Amino acid sequence: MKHLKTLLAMLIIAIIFLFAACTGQAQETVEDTAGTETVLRITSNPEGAEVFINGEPYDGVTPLTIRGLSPGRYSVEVVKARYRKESRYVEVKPGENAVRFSLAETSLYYLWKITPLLLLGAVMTLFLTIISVFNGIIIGTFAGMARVVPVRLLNIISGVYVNFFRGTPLLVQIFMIHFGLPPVLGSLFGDGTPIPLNPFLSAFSALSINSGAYVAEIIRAGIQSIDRGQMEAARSLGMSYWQAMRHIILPQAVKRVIPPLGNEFIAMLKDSSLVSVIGMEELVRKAQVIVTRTYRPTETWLGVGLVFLMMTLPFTKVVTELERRLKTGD
Amino acid sequence: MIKVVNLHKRFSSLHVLKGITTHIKPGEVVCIIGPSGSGKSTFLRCLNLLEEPSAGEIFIEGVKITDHKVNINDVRAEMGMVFQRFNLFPHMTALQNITIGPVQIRKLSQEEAEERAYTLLDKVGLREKAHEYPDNLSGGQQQRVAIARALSMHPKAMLFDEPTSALDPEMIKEVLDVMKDLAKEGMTMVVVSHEMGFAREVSDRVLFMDDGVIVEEGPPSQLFNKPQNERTRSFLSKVL
Ligand SMILES: Nc1ncnc2c1ncn2[C@@H]1O[C@H](COP(=O)(O)OP(=O)(O)O)[C@@H](O)[C@H]1O
Ligand SMILES: [Mg+2]
Repeated sequence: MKHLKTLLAMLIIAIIFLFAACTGQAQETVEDTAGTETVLRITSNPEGAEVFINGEPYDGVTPLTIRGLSPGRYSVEVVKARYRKESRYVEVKPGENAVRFSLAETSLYYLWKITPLLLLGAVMTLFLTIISVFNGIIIGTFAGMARVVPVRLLNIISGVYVNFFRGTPLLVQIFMIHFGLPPVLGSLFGDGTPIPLNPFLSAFSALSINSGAYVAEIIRAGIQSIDRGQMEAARSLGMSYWQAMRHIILPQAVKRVIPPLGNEFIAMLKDSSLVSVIGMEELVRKAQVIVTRTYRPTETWLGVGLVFLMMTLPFTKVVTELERRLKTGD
Repeated sequence: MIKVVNLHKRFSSLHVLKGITTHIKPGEVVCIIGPSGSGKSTFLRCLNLLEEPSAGEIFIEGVKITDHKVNINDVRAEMGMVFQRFNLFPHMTALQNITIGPVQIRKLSQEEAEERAYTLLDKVGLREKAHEYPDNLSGGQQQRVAIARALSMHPKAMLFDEPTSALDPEMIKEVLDVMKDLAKEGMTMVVVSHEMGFAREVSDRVLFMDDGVIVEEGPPSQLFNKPQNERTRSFLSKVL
C-alpha cells in the first residue's frame, strides 16, 4: 500500500515534468523564388503529418505541395499522432515556397521509444549487481567470519579490508581499480606498459570487493547478535568452536542476516550506477548516450529514475516482508 | 572425582576467586550458596573450563584438566552444565536439542541418539513435547529439556548454575524434582542455588562462598543450624 502511494507520487511528478518539457522548437526554413503562381512545399520529418492551413484541414499528408494560393501570410500547422503538433506563419510569395517541420515525439512516445534501450541498460545493471553481490556474499562471509573467530591475524586482516572499503568512496575504488591497477599489472605481468582493464571487469571487481566489505559487517553483526549463552551451551556439551559455529551459531545468524543482505542488494543496485563513469554500459551510461543523441534529458532521466524504481520497489517489499516475519518469530 | 587445589581466577584487575580448595566425591551432591558476586558462577564455569583458571589445579578423576595438553572439548563432554537462562538452541526442537551432542560429538547414529533422547525426555516428563521448539515451552519445561540435553552426553558430573532462579515460582518444583531424582540415582552434582529447601534435603555438603573464598562448608544440617562463621550467619539470616 505504501509503495503504491510512492509510485503514484512519482507518476504525478513525472506528468508535471512531461508538461514542462512540452516546449519543443522547430526550425523554420522558407525559401522562395520568383514566379507567377505560388507553390508551397510542406515537408516534415517524419513524413505523413496532416496539414492545416489557417486552421482548415487540407487534403493529404506531408510531403505536400500546394499550388495556387494567393500570396499572403498563412498559418501552417502539421499534426501527426504521437508527435507534438507544430504551427508557424508562412509568408507565401509568388513562385516556390518551402517550409520544413521537424516534429518532436510527445514525451510519452519518446519514453516508449527509448524504453527498450533503457531496459537493456537495466538488464545490465541487474546482471552486474547480482553477480557482484553474489561474489560479495562469498567474500563477505569469509571476511565476516574472519572478524569474529578467535584468530588474531584473521581479525586484523579482515578488519583492515572492511574498514578500508567501507571508509572510502565507491567511486574512488572504481578509479583505483580501473585506472590505478593497469600500471601495476603492467609492471608485474608485462613489459611495464599499463595493461588496460575492460570496463566490465573493473566494474565487477570494484562492486564485488566493495559489496564484500559491507556483507562482512552484516555477517559479523549477525553472528555477534546471537546470545553468548548459545556458544557457551554448545561448548559445554563438548563441541569444538567450529562445531558450535556450524551447528548452533551460523544457522541462527543466517536468518537475521537475510533482511540486511536484501538491503545491501538494493543499495548496490543503485550504487552500481557509478560504474557508468568508466564507460560500463549499464542503465545510467545508456541514458547518457541517449541524451547526447536526442537532447532530451528531462524525459530520459525521468525514465531512468522510473526504471530504477521498478527494480528497487519489489525488492524493498520483499525485505520489509522478511523483516516483519522475522520480528513476529519466523 | 573432582579435586580443586588453590584455584584462582582474575578478570584483568578483578580478583574473583582467591584460592579455592575442595574435593567432591563420586555421587556427592554439593550445593554452593553465597551472596551475589562472590564468584559462585565463576567457580562452576572453571570446573568445565568455560573460564580459564588463572592459577591452581583442577583434577577430574585424576586427570589434571588445567594442564594445557588435555583436550578441552573432551573435558566438557564429561561435565554436564545447566544454565540459569536455559540456553536451549532455539532453532532446534526439544528432541534435536538432546540429540545434537550425541550425534555430533559421540558420533552416535541418529536413531540411537533419538532412542536415548526419548528415554531422557521420559525422565524429565516431557516426551510429548519432543517436537516442540523451545519458544513454545514454559520456562520450567525448557529447563527440564536443558537438563536432558546435558544428560545426553552421559556426563560424569552435572553442574547447575542457579537453575531455578529465572523461573516463575510455580515452575521451580518441577525442575527441583528432576534434580532430586538425579541425585537419588547417584549423579555427582554441583549446584549453585538459593533454594535452601533443596540444599537441606538433597545435598551432602554445602559450601558457603563469599568474596572468592569458601568461608565455611559442612553437611546442611550443621551449616544451616549451627553456622560457625559470622559471615555465614549474617548471610543465612538474610535468606532464610
Ligand atoms: N567475564 C567476566 N569479565 C569480567 N568480570 C567478570 C566476568 N564474569 C564475572 N565477572 C565478575 O566476577 C565477579 C563474580 O561473578 P560471579 O562468579 O558471576 O558471581 P556469582 O555467580 O557468585 O554471583 C563479579 O564481580 C562479576 O562482575
Ligand atoms: Mg552467578
